[in-house]
Amino acid sequence: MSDLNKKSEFEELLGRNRGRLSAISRSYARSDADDLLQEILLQIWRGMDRFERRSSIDTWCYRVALNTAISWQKTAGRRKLRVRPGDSDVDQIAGGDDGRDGTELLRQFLQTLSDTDRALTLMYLDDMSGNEMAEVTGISAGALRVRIHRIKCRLAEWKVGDT
Amino acid sequence: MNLDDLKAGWQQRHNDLGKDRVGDLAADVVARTASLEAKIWRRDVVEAVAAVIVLCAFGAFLWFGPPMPVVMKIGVVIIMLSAIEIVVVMHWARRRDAEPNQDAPFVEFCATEKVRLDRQIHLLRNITWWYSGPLLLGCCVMMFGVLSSVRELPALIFYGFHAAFYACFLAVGIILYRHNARAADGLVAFRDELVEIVRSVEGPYGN
Repeated sequence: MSDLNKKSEFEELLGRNRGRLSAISRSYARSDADDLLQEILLQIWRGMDRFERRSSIDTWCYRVALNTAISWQKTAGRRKLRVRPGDSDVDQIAGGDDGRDGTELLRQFLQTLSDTDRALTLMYLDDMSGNEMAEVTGISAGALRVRIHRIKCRLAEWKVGDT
Repeated sequence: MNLDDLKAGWQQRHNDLGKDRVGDLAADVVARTASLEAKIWRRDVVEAVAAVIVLCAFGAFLWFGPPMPVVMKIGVVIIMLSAIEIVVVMHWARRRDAEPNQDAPFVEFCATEKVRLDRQIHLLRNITWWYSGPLLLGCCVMMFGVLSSVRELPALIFYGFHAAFYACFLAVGIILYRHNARAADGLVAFRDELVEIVRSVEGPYGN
């Protein structure tokens, strides 16, 4: 792939997936969400040459983003900044959302979930199909349905302040 | 709250947020990639050059330098072999544990990343045996040879020198060990989280 083609494909990919990538970075990092987003973009750019086009490039992009978000927590300094179950200072991450559309509450709820369940919820919110989710996570479609159902039940019973 | 009712608002919000940030950040990515690759290349070159300098300097000293005691020669040879060993081990470890496979499925990524981390932790915790130990041993043996060949020193100064040199080497060894052991401990918590992720998908609600 020539550099020019790669760059234009990269920009198209980001244009289509900017919402997803932004959601992942802001769900897995706190004040350093922009740094995580930049790292995700870097990994996508570097990985594009290896992409074998056996699956959709958007699914591949989601995989890279999710895996980068998980490995972002590797260093101790970043671990202090990560979003953990039970955190309550969501405003720092939300960037001043007034919460009228419920996304702020949803963000708080996401923080109570494990890394895996948080990833599944993000994918569900992004309207990804069961097959796509299975492809990204490596979890079977049946097991995914069960987990999503449990997350929905948990959300229905969840109150602000619960962890 | 219902997850399905929140989808539209969630997507809209992140699309709006992503519009500015992703556009700005994407512009830096290409330049950052080039600088990162140059940095890695420089690191490898510096390591190789350092090893070559050690080999050339000590090799020249051994073959073309003044006559020296056998113990000192053994020390010099140990230092030269250590330099080769360090470069080989580091190169081998980097090849074996090349960058994580970022485009693998999430669960597979966590499992392979855990294996990679285990190896890194092992390497960091054993730094005395493959890095500082052989090098410092060579220095100590060489110094022992140097000091033993100087006969005219008063006993107190002679033993004082010995003690000071070995204490310095020991201190360097301890500092290196502690620094790397702390780095290894820092990775353990992350490793445990990866284990937990893999376990959670293999549990009753997993695959």
